[in-house]
Amino acid sequence: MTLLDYEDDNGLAAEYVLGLLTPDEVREVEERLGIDPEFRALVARWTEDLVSLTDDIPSIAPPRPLEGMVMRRLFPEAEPARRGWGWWPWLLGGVAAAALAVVALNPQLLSRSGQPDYAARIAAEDGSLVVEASFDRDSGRLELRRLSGAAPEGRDLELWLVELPEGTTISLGVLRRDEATTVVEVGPDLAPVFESNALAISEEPLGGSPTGQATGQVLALGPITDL
Amino acid sequence: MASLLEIEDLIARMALGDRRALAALYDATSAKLFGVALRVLDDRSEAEDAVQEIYVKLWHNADRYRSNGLSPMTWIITVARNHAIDRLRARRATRAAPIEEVAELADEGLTPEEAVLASSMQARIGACLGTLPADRADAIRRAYLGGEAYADLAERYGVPLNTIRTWLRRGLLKLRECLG
Repeated sequence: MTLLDYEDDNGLAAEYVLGLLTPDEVREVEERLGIDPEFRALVARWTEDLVSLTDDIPSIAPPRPLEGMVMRRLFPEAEPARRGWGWWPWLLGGVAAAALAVVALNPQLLSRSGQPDYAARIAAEDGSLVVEASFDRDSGRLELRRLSGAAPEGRDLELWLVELPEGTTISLGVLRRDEATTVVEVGPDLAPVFESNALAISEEPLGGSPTGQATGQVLALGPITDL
Repeated sequence: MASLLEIEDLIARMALGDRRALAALYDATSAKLFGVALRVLDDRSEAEDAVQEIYVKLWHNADRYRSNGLSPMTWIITVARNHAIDRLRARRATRAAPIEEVAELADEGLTPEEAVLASSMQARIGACLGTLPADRADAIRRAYLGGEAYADLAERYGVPLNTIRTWLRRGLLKLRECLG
């Protein structure tokens, strides 16, 4: 059975590339692709020509944890998950001070870019890693400035929004390795979570935690201040 | 941005199972593919899921790249566009066939010279679309980036469903004449 009018191969090839054919027509076209080099060449030309409709689409960096998630999907054996986050409440309770210093924040330091609504100083107890965060609720712009410290060799630093008191965590992305400042776009659904919670930084495989939960050591932590 | 030859080399290494090549390809191309997925899906979290699925697909199909006759960025972006359109259609539940696969098209790929030529040719599609009646140029863009099927286009442009195909094909023929 032939569903298709082969007189207009040009139109047919374009329809195939555009995705306008029905499933039956697609099957017929694909059989033909296997045996008809001229038709294959027509389809290749339409594919090359039409892809340029994406030329003016701007490149937008995806959140870095995506790379870890791709690797995790393809190679699940490579990076076993280590532990959950059940110890967050413990960490943020009285014992926290022993492991991680929670440093009071001076909001004046953070007013460089407009008027942020929330700020946090995320610091390791010994000052080996200090990151200042400021968040503008309206624009969803979270700006992070690494004042000291860096990712360990072959690892990335990942930022977490910690919801208290349960200690559930939401990844906000990976800090840039090469620059002191990282800007994260935070969706409007997450903006309310900044109220009265905390930010934390852990070290993770390159690209970020493959599991969506922290797998490495928590290096720094800071409460979020409402400005 | 890595050169086309470098991208081609990465795809070849992926076909041999080199995970570092996949990481390098991700670094070189993920911003473009995320941009394309966002444009098609218009939803950040869906685009994030799509990008993951696209790289899984590129990894699994890298060994078939050589036989498909496309320049490397065309192949990568077409895989991404097709996947995003399929997701969009699943969301809309329309009638057209899934277009997930990039067909294997030819026995030999483009040489780098041909690829360069192709990219300068490609700059012309905008100009050539400008020579078509505005509704047809718009319909071609909507099919490519919006995943619209003939029924959608017929409704949008007020063309009877039994003539929409002829209507669009006239535009496609004119576009091919202009592109050469």
